[in-house]
Amino acid sequence: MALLSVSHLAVDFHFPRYRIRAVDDVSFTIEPGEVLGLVGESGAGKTVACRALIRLLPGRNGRIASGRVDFAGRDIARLPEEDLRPYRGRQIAFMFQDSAAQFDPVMSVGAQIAETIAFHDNLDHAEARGRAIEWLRQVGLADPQHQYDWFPHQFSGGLRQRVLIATALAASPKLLIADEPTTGLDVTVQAQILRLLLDLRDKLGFAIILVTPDLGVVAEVCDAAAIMYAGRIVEQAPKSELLSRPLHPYSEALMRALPDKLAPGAPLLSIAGQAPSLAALPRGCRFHPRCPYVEEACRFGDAQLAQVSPWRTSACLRWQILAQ
Amino acid sequence: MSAFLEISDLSVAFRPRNLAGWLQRRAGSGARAVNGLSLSLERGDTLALIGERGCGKNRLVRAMLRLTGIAAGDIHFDGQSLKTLRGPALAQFRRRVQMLSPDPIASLNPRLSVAETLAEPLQVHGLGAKRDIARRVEALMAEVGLPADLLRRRPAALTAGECHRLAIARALALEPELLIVNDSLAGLDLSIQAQIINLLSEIRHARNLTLVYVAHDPRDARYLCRSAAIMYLGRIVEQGPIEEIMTRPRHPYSQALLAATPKMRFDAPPPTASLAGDPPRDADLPPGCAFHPRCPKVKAVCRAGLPPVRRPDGTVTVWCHLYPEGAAARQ
Repeated sequence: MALLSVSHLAVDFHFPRYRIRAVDDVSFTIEPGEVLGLVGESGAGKTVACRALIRLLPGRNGRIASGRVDFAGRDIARLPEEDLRPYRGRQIAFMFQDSAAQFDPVMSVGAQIAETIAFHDNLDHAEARGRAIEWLRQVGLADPQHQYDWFPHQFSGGLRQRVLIATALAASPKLLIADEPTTGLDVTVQAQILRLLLDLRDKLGFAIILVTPDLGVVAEVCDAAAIMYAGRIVEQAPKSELLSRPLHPYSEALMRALPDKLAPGAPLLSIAGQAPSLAALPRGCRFHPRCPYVEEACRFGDAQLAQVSPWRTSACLRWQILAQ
Repeated sequence: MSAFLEISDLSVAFRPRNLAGWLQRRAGSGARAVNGLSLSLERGDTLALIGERGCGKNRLVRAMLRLTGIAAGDIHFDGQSLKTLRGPALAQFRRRVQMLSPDPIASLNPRLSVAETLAEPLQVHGLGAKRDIARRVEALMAEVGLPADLLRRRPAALTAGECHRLAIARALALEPELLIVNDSLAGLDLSIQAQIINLLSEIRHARNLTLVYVAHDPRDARYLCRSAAIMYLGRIVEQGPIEEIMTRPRHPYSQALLAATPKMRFDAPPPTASLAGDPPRDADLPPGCAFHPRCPKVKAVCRAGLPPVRRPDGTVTVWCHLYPEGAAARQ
């Protein structure tokens, strides 16, 4: 049974005169221990979709409009706030974007982890401290006893990301949502952090939703990936199948935009135009104005995410053309 | 005849953070962001300057633009030393060298319309009468693919891609000969990034620009540049044709950097932490080869002396002790 199964999730942001649907009809599943990449460009709705899972939407005007979020057999989308608490942070941990902003600058990082542990597990100060030091060791800090007392500014970006991982995992979650955990890091540090996440996953068995704009990261780290465009998932597939044969024109375009090999002097195959504003979505398939395979049906028909093989979904009306 | 841009044995100090830093810099004893770096570019060359955070690429760029002082060594642009540039010669230099900033969107003045943004450099340099400027602004807009109906908009009303195009147009307004793209595309979405790379490539050919493309991620540089230099802690560690370096890096640091770069292939191997930790703080640079504390192939000699210049197989230049003089490349 899937650990998390999201079906037809829609998230609205309400404004005095109008509302914007940031995430529309999003469905995906993730198995225990699986690493799912959630890929998309800025504004595609990746972060909103993730934050909606535990109802930590930014601002006060975001609401889940419809859909189910089944986690370990229970629909948590409709739970009252009180009942959601055992899930939030404990069963489903979250690493938000921008690690530097996650920490209290005037509290030592060790104390911040210990606070999390003490809250979730009802431990006293000394026990929580011991556990926090153990977590700092697990995420690869050289001298956890000593570094427990460091303040966030004393860490480099890579180390801060490690501490953030320790904080997120301190309550032994079943699912870790990592929102762009390596954006802004150098590539060698990025490789260290991704390696660490995979090693901890192997050891502790939690599943990961990895939000990233980088298909290269997906290729190296994820078991499967879901591609988002303009608030919708356009394709979900196992990694190797997705990368060897994308079944949505948008995923194909992303893959071709910066290929590993290219004849010298040949232009890159860029996607013309830009993603539509959520306030003014085109009719029909949301990708059709930029799509090279567009036909009449794409302009009017609603391109729903459909099962195209036992393991894959695609929202393209003409996916058969890509399958050939 | 000397090269178009000749950097010889250049050292650049860090921007001092406090009084002690100022005093150290005046005494010439402070930490160096760029440390004895040499580089030469011919007209029309395209060089990718690749390095991670803290490698000194930004200080190097600032020195190339004469936006910061030079601690030792010199930079010659078209035969002229940047150290002696003053007055009209300096103004002339500013026209000939332009930079695309690391955050082009933030570099736009939010209060100026698109037309004003493009006219400003022309006015500052006293180029052209009013009607002439309007015509040149229109030509620039067309060159970067911006529709003319955006002329009266302000940057806030533009998309990220349009802001980038505007910043490029502004850099081109003075008809520079050398364009420095300083890690400008990093924050862009992939599909827009490809558009901007294609645009830069077209412009470079059309105008025969010399291009220095600074990047922290080796991937995007290869579409624009023929050669590459990999930097680590203020020095170049490897330099040569970009395809050679991408496919067969010689220096242990370049090898680690490229191993860590994600590859978009369905059979990509899982990530390996090819390098542990972070580079040392600039204040206490290790003796000998600056990379030796993290180098997987370190030998005794690496701790002692500065790495020698080697050309293991005649294509790529490597600053590394591992390659004996005159020997073929070891894999």
